Amino acid sequence: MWVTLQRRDVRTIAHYTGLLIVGIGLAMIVPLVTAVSLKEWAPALDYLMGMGISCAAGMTLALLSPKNTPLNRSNALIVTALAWLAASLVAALPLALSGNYGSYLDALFDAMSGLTTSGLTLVQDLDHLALSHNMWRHFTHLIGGQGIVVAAVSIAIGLRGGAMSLYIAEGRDEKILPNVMHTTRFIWFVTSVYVALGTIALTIVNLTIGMEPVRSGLHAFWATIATYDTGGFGPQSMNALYYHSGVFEFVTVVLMIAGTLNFNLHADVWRGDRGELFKNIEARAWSTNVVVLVVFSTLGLAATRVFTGVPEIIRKGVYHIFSANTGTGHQTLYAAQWARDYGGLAMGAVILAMAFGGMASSTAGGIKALRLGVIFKGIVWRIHESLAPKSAVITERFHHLDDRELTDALLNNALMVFMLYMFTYVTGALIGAAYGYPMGEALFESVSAAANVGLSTGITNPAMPTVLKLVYILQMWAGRLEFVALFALFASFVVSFGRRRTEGRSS
Amino acid sequence: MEGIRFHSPYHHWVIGLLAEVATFVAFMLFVGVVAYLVSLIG
Repeated sequence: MWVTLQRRDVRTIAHYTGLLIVGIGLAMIVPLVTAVSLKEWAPALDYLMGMGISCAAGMTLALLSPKNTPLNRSNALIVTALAWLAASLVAALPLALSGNYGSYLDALFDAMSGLTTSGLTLVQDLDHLALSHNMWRHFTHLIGGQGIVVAAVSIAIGLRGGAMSLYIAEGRDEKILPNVMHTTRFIWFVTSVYVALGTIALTIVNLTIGMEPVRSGLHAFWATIATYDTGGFGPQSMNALYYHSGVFEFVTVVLMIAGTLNFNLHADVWRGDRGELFKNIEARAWSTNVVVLVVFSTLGLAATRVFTGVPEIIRKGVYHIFSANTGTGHQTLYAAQWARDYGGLAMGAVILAMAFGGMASSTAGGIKALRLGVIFKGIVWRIHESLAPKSAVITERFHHLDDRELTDALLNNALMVFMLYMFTYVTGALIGAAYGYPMGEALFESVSAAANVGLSTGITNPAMPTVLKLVYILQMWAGRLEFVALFALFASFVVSFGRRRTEGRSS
Repeated sequence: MEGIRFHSPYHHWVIGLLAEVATFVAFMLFVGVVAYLVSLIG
Protein backbone atom coordinates (compact mmCIF):
# COMPACT_ATOMS: atom_id res chain seq x y z
CA MET A 1 0.00 0.00 0.00
CA TRP A 2 1.26 3.48 -0.82
CA VAL A 3 1.00 6.03 1.97
CA THR A 4 -0.48 9.34 0.86
CA LEU A 5 0.58 12.64 2.35
CA GLN A 6 -1.95 14.20 4.72
CA ARG A 7 -2.19 17.89 5.56
CA ARG A 8 -0.45 17.14 8.87
CA ASP A 9 2.50 15.48 7.04
CA VAL A 10 2.87 18.47 4.74
CA ARG A 11 3.01 20.79 7.76
CA THR A 12 5.60 18.59 9.50
CA ILE A 13 7.73 18.50 6.34
CA ALA A 14 7.40 22.28 5.97
CA HIS A 15 8.43 22.79 9.60
CA TYR A 16 11.67 20.81 9.34
CA THR A 17 12.54 22.14 5.88
CA GLY A 18 12.01 25.65 7.27
CA LEU A 19 14.42 24.98 10.14
CA LEU A 20 17.06 23.77 7.68
CA ILE A 21 16.63 26.92 5.57
CA VAL A 22 17.09 29.07 8.68
CA GLY A 23 20.27 27.07 9.38
CA ILE A 24 21.63 27.92 5.91
CA GLY A 25 20.77 31.59 6.52
CA LEU A 26 22.66 31.54 9.81
CA ALA A 27 25.66 29.86 8.16
CA MET A 28 25.97 32.95 5.93
CA ILE A 29 27.44 34.69 9.00
CA VAL A 30 30.78 33.10 8.02
CA PRO A 31 31.10 34.82 4.60
CA LEU A 32 29.52 37.97 6.09
CA VAL A 33 32.24 38.19 8.74
CA THR A 34 34.85 37.47 6.02
CA ALA A 35 33.44 40.28 3.87
CA VAL A 36 33.33 42.80 6.72
CA SER A 37 36.81 41.98 8.00
CA LEU A 38 38.29 42.21 4.50
CA LYS A 39 36.28 45.39 3.77
CA GLU A 40 34.37 43.84 0.85
CA TRP A 41 31.25 45.96 1.31
CA ALA A 42 29.26 44.95 -1.78
CA PRO A 43 29.47 41.19 -0.99
CA ALA A 44 28.64 41.98 2.67
CA LEU A 45 25.32 43.43 1.47
CA ASP A 46 24.71 40.30 -0.65
CA TYR A 47 25.06 38.14 2.46
CA LEU A 48 22.89 40.42 4.59
CA MET A 49 20.15 40.13 1.98
CA GLY A 50 20.69 36.38 1.67
CA MET A 51 20.44 35.95 5.44
CA GLY A 52 17.32 38.11 5.63
CA ILE A 53 15.49 36.26 2.88
CA SER A 54 16.42 32.76 4.03
CA CYS A 55 15.68 33.41 7.72
CA ALA A 56 12.32 35.01 6.86
CA ALA A 57 11.33 32.22 4.44
CA GLY A 58 12.60 29.51 6.79
CA MET A 59 10.84 30.88 9.87
CA THR A 60 7.57 31.25 7.95
CA LEU A 61 7.74 27.59 6.92
CA ALA A 62 8.78 26.48 10.40
CA LEU A 63 5.91 28.35 12.06
CA LEU A 64 3.33 26.76 9.73
CA SER A 65 3.51 23.58 11.76
CA PRO A 66 3.18 22.79 15.45
CA LYS A 67 6.60 22.28 17.08
CA ASN A 68 7.50 18.88 18.54
CA THR A 69 5.72 16.99 15.76
CA PRO A 70 7.38 13.58 15.56
CA LEU A 71 9.00 12.91 12.20
CA ASN A 72 8.27 9.42 10.88
CA ARG A 73 10.52 7.58 8.46
CA SER A 74 8.75 8.46 5.22
CA ASN A 75 8.50 12.14 6.16
CA ALA A 76 12.18 12.13 7.13
CA LEU A 77 13.05 10.81 3.66
CA ILE A 78 11.05 13.59 2.03
CA VAL A 79 12.59 16.27 4.27
CA THR A 80 16.07 14.97 3.38
CA ALA A 81 15.37 15.07 -0.34
CA LEU A 82 13.80 18.53 -0.12
CA ALA A 83 16.52 19.84 2.20
CA TRP A 84 19.20 19.73 -0.51
CA LEU A 85 16.99 21.58 -2.99
CA ALA A 86 15.70 24.12 -0.46
CA ALA A 87 19.20 24.74 0.89
CA SER A 88 20.59 25.17 -2.64
CA LEU A 89 17.80 27.62 -3.54
CA VAL A 90 18.71 29.93 -0.65
CA ALA A 91 22.49 29.33 -0.74
CA ALA A 92 22.42 30.50 -4.37
CA LEU A 93 20.95 33.91 -3.44
CA PRO A 94 24.16 35.76 -2.45
CA LEU A 95 26.03 34.09 -5.33
CA ALA A 96 23.40 35.27 -7.81
CA LEU A 97 23.70 38.80 -6.37
CA SER A 98 27.51 38.73 -6.76
CA GLY A 99 27.43 39.56 -10.47
CA ASN A 100 29.78 36.66 -11.24
CA TYR A 101 27.01 34.38 -12.49
CA GLY A 102 25.16 34.64 -15.78
CA SER A 103 21.82 33.89 -14.15
CA TYR A 104 20.18 32.67 -10.94
CA LEU A 105 20.21 29.16 -12.49
CA ASP A 106 24.02 29.30 -12.76
CA ALA A 107 24.25 30.33 -9.10
CA LEU A 108 21.85 27.51 -8.18
CA PHE A 109 24.07 25.08 -10.11
CA ASP A 110 27.08 26.17 -8.02
CA ALA A 111 25.11 26.01 -4.76
CA MET A 112 23.88 22.48 -5.53
CA SER A 113 27.39 21.51 -6.66
CA GLY A 114 28.84 22.93 -3.43
CA LEU A 115 26.32 21.39 -1.07
CA THR A 116 26.48 17.97 -2.72
CA THR A 117 30.33 18.23 -2.60
CA SER A 118 30.56 17.87 -6.38
CA GLY A 119 32.74 20.76 -7.51
CA LEU A 120 31.47 21.51 -11.03
CA THR A 121 31.16 25.27 -11.41
CA LEU A 122 29.54 27.88 -13.66
CA VAL A 123 31.15 30.93 -12.04
CA GLN A 124 32.54 33.60 -14.35
CA ASP A 125 35.86 35.37 -13.81
CA LEU A 126 36.65 33.13 -10.84
CA ASP A 127 40.16 34.57 -10.52
CA HIS A 128 38.69 37.95 -9.53
CA LEU A 129 35.82 36.70 -7.37
CA ALA A 130 35.49 38.42 -3.96
CA LEU A 131 37.19 36.47 -1.18
CA SER A 132 33.94 36.34 0.82
CA HIS A 133 32.10 34.75 -2.12
CA ASN A 134 34.91 32.21 -2.37
CA MET A 135 34.52 31.61 1.37
CA TRP A 136 30.81 30.87 0.87
CA ARG A 137 31.37 28.61 -2.15
CA HIS A 138 33.88 26.51 -0.20
CA PHE A 139 31.87 26.68 3.00
CA THR A 140 28.94 25.01 1.23
CA HIS A 141 31.21 21.98 0.82
CA LEU A 142 31.67 21.86 4.58
CA ILE A 143 27.96 22.30 5.28
CA GLY A 144 26.88 19.77 2.68
CA GLY A 145 29.75 17.39 3.29
CA GLN A 146 29.15 17.01 6.99
CA GLY A 147 25.53 16.72 6.04
CA ILE A 148 23.00 19.52 6.11
CA VAL A 149 21.04 17.04 8.09
CA VAL A 150 23.77 16.27 10.60
CA ALA A 151 24.40 20.00 10.96
CA ALA A 152 20.73 20.54 11.57
CA VAL A 153 20.71 17.73 14.09
CA SER A 154 23.57 19.24 16.03
CA ILE A 155 22.44 22.87 15.83
CA ALA A 156 18.70 23.18 15.55
CA ILE A 157 16.78 20.06 16.32
CA GLY A 158 18.81 18.59 19.14
CA LEU A 159 17.47 15.39 20.57
CA ARG A 160 13.83 15.90 19.74
CA GLY A 161 11.99 12.89 18.34
CA GLY A 162 12.81 13.54 14.70
CA ALA A 163 16.58 13.70 14.93
CA MET A 164 17.37 10.03 14.49
CA SER A 165 14.93 9.54 11.60
CA LEU A 166 16.58 12.45 9.78
CA TYR A 167 19.99 10.95 10.28
CA ILE A 168 19.01 7.51 8.98
CA ALA A 169 17.41 8.93 5.86
CA GLU A 170 20.61 10.50 4.66
CA GLY A 171 22.14 7.34 3.27
CA ARG A 172 24.33 6.98 6.35
CA ASP A 173 22.34 4.17 7.81
CA GLU A 174 24.87 2.74 10.21
CA LYS A 175 24.94 4.14 13.71
CA ILE A 176 28.59 4.83 14.50
CA LEU A 177 28.12 5.53 18.16
CA PRO A 178 25.10 4.74 20.29
CA ASN A 179 23.23 8.00 20.11
CA VAL A 180 22.81 10.74 17.61
CA MET A 181 24.45 13.55 19.59
CA HIS A 182 27.56 11.46 20.17
CA THR A 183 27.60 10.50 16.49
CA THR A 184 27.27 14.10 15.38
CA ARG A 185 29.91 15.30 17.82
CA PHE A 186 32.25 12.54 16.71
CA ILE A 187 31.82 13.50 13.04
CA TRP A 188 32.52 17.16 13.83
CA PHE A 189 35.47 16.18 16.03
CA VAL A 190 37.18 14.12 13.30
CA THR A 191 36.42 16.88 10.79
CA SER A 192 37.84 19.64 13.02
CA VAL A 193 41.07 17.72 13.61
CA TYR A 194 41.63 17.06 9.89
CA VAL A 195 40.61 20.58 8.84
CA ALA A 196 42.93 22.16 11.43
CA LEU A 197 45.90 19.96 10.48
CA GLY A 198 45.25 20.34 6.75
CA THR A 199 44.95 24.11 6.99
CA ILE A 200 48.22 24.40 8.93
CA ALA A 201 50.07 22.09 6.48
CA LEU A 202 48.76 23.85 3.36
CA THR A 203 49.38 27.33 4.82
CA ILE A 204 53.03 26.37 5.22
CA VAL A 205 53.09 25.04 1.64
CA ASN A 206 51.48 28.24 0.31
CA LEU A 207 53.89 30.47 2.24
CA THR A 208 56.88 28.56 0.87
CA ILE A 209 55.66 28.96 -2.72
CA GLY A 210 55.49 32.71 -2.18
CA MET A 211 51.90 33.70 -1.32
CA GLU A 212 51.18 36.52 1.13
CA PRO A 213 50.15 35.33 4.63
CA VAL A 214 46.40 36.15 4.60
CA ARG A 215 45.93 34.68 1.15
CA SER A 216 47.99 31.60 2.11
CA GLY A 217 45.75 30.95 5.10
CA LEU A 218 42.50 31.48 3.19
CA HIS A 219 43.58 29.33 0.23
CA ALA A 220 44.79 26.64 2.65
CA PHE A 221 41.47 26.59 4.54
CA TRP A 222 39.47 26.45 1.31
CA ALA A 223 41.64 23.74 -0.24
CA THR A 224 41.41 21.73 2.99
CA ILE A 225 37.63 21.80 3.25
CA ALA A 226 37.29 21.24 -0.49
CA THR A 227 39.50 18.13 -0.33
CA TYR A 228 38.50 16.74 3.06
CA ASP A 229 34.83 17.08 2.16
CA THR A 230 35.67 15.64 -1.28
CA GLY A 231 34.22 18.75 -2.92
CA GLY A 232 36.56 20.14 -5.52
CA PHE A 233 35.91 23.86 -5.75
CA GLY A 234 39.04 25.99 -5.98
CA PRO A 235 39.57 29.73 -5.63
CA GLN A 236 41.42 29.90 -8.96
CA SER A 237 40.24 28.86 -12.40
CA MET A 238 43.30 26.64 -12.77
CA ASN A 239 42.17 24.68 -9.69
CA ALA A 240 45.00 22.62 -8.10
CA LEU A 241 47.27 23.30 -11.10
CA TYR A 242 47.54 26.92 -9.87
CA TYR A 243 49.92 25.93 -7.06
CA HIS A 244 52.39 23.93 -9.21
CA SER A 245 53.49 22.16 -6.05
CA GLY A 246 54.10 18.47 -5.53
CA VAL A 247 53.87 18.90 -1.76
CA PHE A 248 50.47 20.61 -2.13
CA GLU A 249 49.28 17.64 -4.20
CA PHE A 250 50.65 15.16 -1.65
CA VAL A 251 48.91 16.85 1.30
CA THR A 252 45.63 17.13 -0.58
CA VAL A 253 45.71 13.41 -1.48
CA VAL A 254 46.13 12.53 2.22
CA LEU A 255 43.11 14.74 2.97
CA MET A 256 41.14 13.14 0.13
CA ILE A 257 41.74 9.65 1.53
CA ALA A 258 40.79 10.84 5.04
CA GLY A 259 37.64 12.34 3.56
CA THR A 260 36.66 9.20 1.72
CA LEU A 261 37.23 6.93 4.72
CA ASN A 262 34.01 5.54 6.21
CA PHE A 263 33.25 7.37 9.48
CA ASN A 264 32.74 3.97 11.11
CA LEU A 265 36.34 3.18 10.23
CA HIS A 266 37.52 6.50 11.68
CA ALA A 267 35.59 5.62 14.84
CA ASP A 268 37.12 2.14 15.09
CA VAL A 269 40.68 3.30 14.41
CA TRP A 270 40.45 6.29 16.76
CA ARG A 271 39.15 3.99 19.49
CA GLY A 272 42.19 1.77 19.09
CA ASP A 273 41.10 -0.98 16.68
CA ARG A 274 43.66 -0.29 13.96
CA GLY A 275 43.38 -3.77 12.43
CA GLU A 276 39.96 -2.81 11.08
CA LEU A 277 41.66 -0.69 8.39
CA PHE A 278 43.08 -3.85 6.86
CA LYS A 279 40.31 -6.39 7.52
CA ASN A 280 37.40 -4.26 6.37
CA ILE A 281 35.83 -5.37 3.08
CA GLU A 282 35.27 -1.75 2.07
CA ALA A 283 38.85 -0.65 2.73
CA ARG A 284 40.05 -3.68 0.77
CA ALA A 285 37.67 -3.10 -2.14
CA TRP A 286 38.56 0.60 -2.29
CA SER A 287 42.34 0.08 -2.21
CA THR A 288 42.13 -2.70 -4.81
CA ASN A 289 40.12 -0.37 -7.04
CA VAL A 290 42.68 2.39 -6.74
CA VAL A 291 45.65 0.12 -7.47
CA VAL A 292 44.02 -1.48 -10.55
CA LEU A 293 42.88 1.89 -11.92
CA VAL A 294 46.31 3.45 -11.33
CA VAL A 295 47.83 0.62 -13.39
CA PHE A 296 45.48 1.38 -16.32
CA SER A 297 45.90 5.11 -15.97
CA THR A 298 49.71 4.90 -15.91
CA LEU A 299 49.77 2.52 -18.89
CA GLY A 300 47.50 4.88 -20.82
CA LEU A 301 49.56 7.96 -20.02
CA ALA A 302 52.83 6.18 -20.82
CA ALA A 303 51.39 5.18 -24.21
CA THR A 304 50.27 8.71 -25.20
CA ARG A 305 53.77 10.13 -24.59
CA VAL A 306 52.33 13.61 -23.88
CA PHE A 307 53.79 13.82 -20.39
CA THR A 308 57.53 13.44 -20.52
CA GLY A 309 59.35 11.46 -17.88
CA VAL A 310 58.23 8.85 -15.41
CA PRO A 311 57.78 11.26 -12.43
CA GLU A 312 55.36 13.47 -14.43
CA ILE A 313 53.34 10.44 -15.60
CA ILE A 314 53.06 9.12 -12.03
CA ARG A 315 52.19 12.55 -10.62
CA LYS A 316 49.37 13.19 -13.10
CA GLY A 317 48.13 9.60 -13.27
CA VAL A 318 48.03 8.91 -9.53
CA TYR A 319 46.64 12.33 -8.52
CA HIS A 320 43.68 12.14 -10.88
CA ILE A 321 42.78 8.57 -9.93
CA PHE A 322 42.74 9.55 -6.23
CA SER A 323 40.88 12.76 -7.00
CA ALA A 324 38.28 10.93 -9.12
CA ASN A 325 37.85 7.88 -6.90
CA THR A 326 37.42 9.83 -3.68
CA GLY A 327 34.91 12.10 -5.44
CA THR A 328 37.00 15.22 -4.89
CA GLY A 329 37.51 16.53 -8.41
CA HIS A 330 40.63 18.64 -8.01
CA GLN A 331 42.55 18.61 -11.26
CA THR A 332 46.08 19.49 -12.27
CA LEU A 333 45.18 19.71 -15.95
CA TYR A 334 43.41 22.27 -18.09
CA ALA A 335 39.89 21.06 -18.89
CA ALA A 336 40.65 20.78 -22.62
CA GLN A 337 43.60 18.45 -21.92
CA TRP A 338 41.35 15.56 -20.90
CA ALA A 339 40.15 14.94 -24.43
CA ARG A 340 43.26 16.18 -26.21
CA ASP A 341 46.18 14.82 -24.18
CA TYR A 342 45.02 12.21 -21.70
CA GLY A 343 44.36 9.32 -24.08
CA GLY A 344 41.41 6.92 -24.15
CA LEU A 345 42.76 4.34 -21.70
CA ALA A 346 43.76 6.78 -18.96
CA MET A 347 40.54 8.77 -19.40
CA GLY A 348 38.55 5.52 -19.21
CA ALA A 349 40.33 4.67 -15.95
CA VAL A 350 39.39 8.08 -14.53
CA ILE A 351 35.73 7.62 -15.62
CA LEU A 352 35.64 4.22 -13.88
CA ALA A 353 37.31 5.67 -10.79
CA MET A 354 34.60 8.36 -10.62
CA ALA A 355 31.81 5.86 -11.25
CA PHE A 356 32.99 3.43 -8.53
CA GLY A 357 33.50 6.14 -5.90
CA GLY A 358 34.86 6.07 -2.37
CA MET A 359 33.50 4.55 0.81
CA ALA A 360 30.01 4.69 2.28
CA SER A 361 29.32 6.87 5.35
CA SER A 362 31.71 9.50 4.04
CA THR A 363 31.39 12.52 1.76
CA ALA A 364 32.50 10.53 -1.30
CA GLY A 365 30.04 9.95 -4.13
CA GLY A 366 29.52 7.19 -6.67
CA ILE A 367 28.48 3.58 -6.26
CA LYS A 368 30.75 3.12 -3.18
CA ALA A 369 33.37 0.50 -2.44
CA LEU A 370 31.19 -1.31 0.12
CA ARG A 371 28.60 -2.13 -2.55
CA LEU A 372 31.28 -3.20 -5.03
CA GLY A 373 32.82 -5.43 -2.37
CA VAL A 374 29.44 -6.98 -1.59
CA ILE A 375 28.69 -7.50 -5.29
CA PHE A 376 32.09 -9.17 -5.79
CA LYS A 377 31.43 -11.46 -2.81
CA GLY A 378 27.98 -12.15 -4.28
CA ILE A 379 29.49 -13.27 -7.59
CA VAL A 380 31.90 -15.59 -5.74
CA TRP A 381 28.93 -16.89 -3.72
CA ARG A 382 26.86 -17.73 -6.80
CA ILE A 383 29.78 -19.47 -8.54
CA HIS A 384 30.52 -21.44 -5.38
CA GLU A 385 26.84 -22.45 -5.14
CA SER A 386 26.64 -23.55 -8.74
CA LEU A 387 29.65 -25.82 -8.31
CA ALA A 388 28.47 -27.39 -5.03
CA PRO A 389 26.17 -30.41 -4.74
CA LYS A 390 22.45 -29.56 -4.58
CA SER A 391 22.06 -30.47 -0.92
CA ALA A 392 24.96 -28.26 0.23
CA VAL A 393 24.19 -24.91 1.88
CA ILE A 394 26.85 -22.42 0.82
CA THR A 395 27.29 -19.24 2.81
CA GLU A 396 29.59 -16.32 2.14
CA ARG A 397 30.95 -14.07 4.91
CA PHE A 398 32.61 -10.69 4.93
CA HIS A 399 34.06 -8.33 7.50
CA HIS A 400 32.61 -4.84 7.83
CA LEU A 401 33.00 -3.68 11.43
CA ASP A 402 31.80 -7.17 12.46
CA ASP A 403 31.90 -10.51 10.71
CA ARG A 404 28.70 -10.68 8.70
CA GLU A 405 26.95 -13.19 6.51
CA LEU A 406 26.09 -12.15 2.98
CA THR A 407 22.33 -12.28 2.46
CA ASP A 408 20.15 -12.02 -0.63
CA ALA A 409 18.68 -8.78 0.73
CA LEU A 410 22.12 -7.15 1.05
CA LEU A 411 23.14 -8.28 -2.39
CA ASN A 412 19.85 -7.09 -3.94
CA ASN A 413 20.21 -3.70 -2.33
CA ALA A 414 23.79 -3.28 -3.57
CA LEU A 415 22.86 -4.39 -7.11
CA MET A 416 19.84 -2.09 -7.21
CA VAL A 417 21.86 1.00 -6.30
CA PHE A 418 24.58 -0.10 -8.76
CA MET A 419 21.98 -0.30 -11.54
CA LEU A 420 20.47 3.08 -10.64
CA TYR A 421 23.87 4.76 -10.76
CA MET A 422 24.67 3.12 -14.12
CA PHE A 423 21.30 4.20 -15.50
CA THR A 424 21.91 7.77 -14.33
CA TYR A 425 25.45 7.89 -15.73
CA VAL A 426 24.33 6.64 -19.15
CA THR A 427 21.21 8.82 -19.33
CA GLY A 428 23.24 11.97 -18.58
CA ALA A 429 25.81 10.95 -21.19
CA LEU A 430 23.13 10.39 -23.84
CA ILE A 431 21.58 13.80 -23.17
CA GLY A 432 25.04 15.38 -23.44
CA ALA A 433 25.65 13.52 -26.69
CA ALA A 434 22.26 14.66 -27.98
CA TYR A 435 23.50 18.25 -27.60
CA GLY A 436 26.41 17.41 -29.88
CA TYR A 437 29.20 16.78 -27.38
CA PRO A 438 31.50 13.80 -28.14
CA MET A 439 30.26 10.67 -26.35
CA GLY A 440 33.45 10.16 -24.30
CA GLU A 441 33.39 13.69 -22.94
CA ALA A 442 29.62 13.58 -22.35
CA LEU A 443 30.04 10.35 -20.35
CA PHE A 444 32.95 11.83 -18.38
CA GLU A 445 30.91 14.90 -17.42
CA SER A 446 27.75 12.93 -16.65
CA VAL A 447 29.58 10.49 -14.35
CA SER A 448 31.39 13.42 -12.74
CA ALA A 449 28.04 15.08 -11.90
CA ALA A 450 26.14 11.98 -10.76
CA ALA A 451 29.04 10.66 -8.66
CA ASN A 452 29.55 14.13 -7.08
CA VAL A 453 33.14 14.34 -8.33
CA GLY A 454 33.58 17.61 -10.20
CA LEU A 455 36.30 16.85 -12.76
CA SER A 456 35.39 18.57 -16.00
CA THR A 457 36.33 18.22 -19.64
CA GLY A 458 35.02 21.73 -20.22
CA ILE A 459 31.39 20.88 -21.08
CA THR A 460 30.33 22.53 -17.81
CA ASN A 461 30.63 26.22 -18.60
CA PRO A 462 28.22 29.18 -18.45
CA ALA A 463 27.42 28.86 -22.17
CA MET A 464 26.24 25.24 -21.97
CA PRO A 465 22.57 24.48 -22.84
CA THR A 466 20.08 25.24 -20.05
CA VAL A 467 18.58 21.75 -20.20
CA LEU A 468 22.01 20.24 -19.59
CA LYS A 469 22.52 22.52 -16.57
CA LEU A 470 19.20 21.23 -15.18
CA VAL A 471 20.15 17.61 -15.93
CA TYR A 472 23.47 17.97 -14.07
CA ILE A 473 21.73 19.67 -11.11
CA LEU A 474 19.31 16.72 -10.95
CA GLN A 475 22.18 14.22 -11.27
CA MET A 476 24.16 15.83 -8.45
CA TRP A 477 21.04 15.86 -6.26
CA ALA A 478 20.11 12.23 -7.04
CA GLY A 479 23.69 10.98 -6.69
CA ARG A 480 24.13 12.62 -3.29
CA LEU A 481 20.90 11.09 -1.95
CA GLU A 482 21.70 7.69 -3.47
CA PHE A 483 18.30 7.83 -5.17
CA VAL A 484 16.04 6.37 -2.46
CA ALA A 485 15.17 9.66 -0.73
CA LEU A 486 14.58 11.40 -4.06
CA PHE A 487 12.36 8.59 -5.36
CA ALA A 488 10.42 8.68 -2.07
CA LEU A 489 9.83 12.40 -2.63
CA PHE A 490 8.59 11.95 -6.20
CA ALA A 491 6.54 8.86 -5.36
CA SER A 492 4.73 10.49 -2.45
CA PHE A 493 3.88 13.56 -4.51
CA VAL A 494 2.67 11.49 -7.46
CA VAL A 495 0.66 9.11 -5.27
CA SER A 496 -0.85 11.85 -3.09
CA PHE A 497 -1.69 14.11 -6.02
CA GLY A 498 -3.02 11.19 -8.08
CA ARG A 499 -5.27 9.91 -5.25
CA ARG A 500 -6.68 13.33 -4.54
CA ARG A 501 -7.59 13.80 -8.19
CA THR A 502 -9.33 10.42 -8.44
CA GLU A 503 -11.15 11.05 -5.17
CA GLY A 504 -12.26 14.44 -6.48
CA ARG A 505 -13.58 12.84 -9.66
CA SER A 506 -15.53 10.05 -7.90
CA SER A 507 -17.28 12.38 -5.43
CA MET B 1 28.11 -2.60 23.04
CA GLU B 2 29.54 -0.27 25.62
CA GLY B 3 28.55 3.34 24.99
CA ILE B 4 31.35 5.52 23.65
CA ARG B 5 31.50 8.88 25.38
CA PHE B 6 32.83 11.92 23.59
CA HIS B 7 35.23 13.10 26.27
CA SER B 8 37.01 10.56 28.44
CA PRO B 9 37.73 7.46 26.33
CA TYR B 10 39.44 9.44 23.58
CA HIS B 11 42.89 8.65 24.93
CA HIS B 12 43.57 6.75 21.72
CA TRP B 13 42.52 9.32 19.20
CA VAL B 14 45.97 10.87 18.60
CA ILE B 15 47.48 7.45 18.02
CA GLY B 16 44.48 6.56 15.85
CA LEU B 17 44.98 9.71 13.78
CA LEU B 18 48.70 9.04 13.37
CA ALA B 19 47.93 5.44 12.40
CA GLU B 20 45.44 6.61 9.78
CA VAL B 21 47.78 9.19 8.26
CA ALA B 22 50.69 6.73 8.28
CA THR B 23 48.52 4.13 6.51
CA PHE B 24 47.40 6.68 3.90
CA VAL B 25 50.97 7.78 3.19
CA ALA B 26 52.17 4.16 3.03
CA PHE B 27 49.34 3.36 0.61
CA MET B 28 50.20 6.38 -1.55
CA LEU B 29 53.84 5.28 -1.67
CA PHE B 30 52.75 1.74 -2.57
CA VAL B 31 50.54 3.08 -5.36
CA GLY B 32 53.45 5.26 -6.50
CA VAL B 33 55.75 2.24 -6.70
CA VAL B 34 53.13 0.26 -8.67
CA ALA B 35 52.75 3.21 -11.07
CA TYR B 36 56.52 3.45 -11.41
CA LEU B 37 56.86 -0.23 -12.31
CA VAL B 38 53.98 -0.03 -14.79
CA SER B 39 55.37 3.09 -16.45
CA LEU B 40 58.68 1.29 -16.96
CA ILE B 41 56.83 -1.42 -18.89
CA GLY B 42 54.55 1.06 -20.67
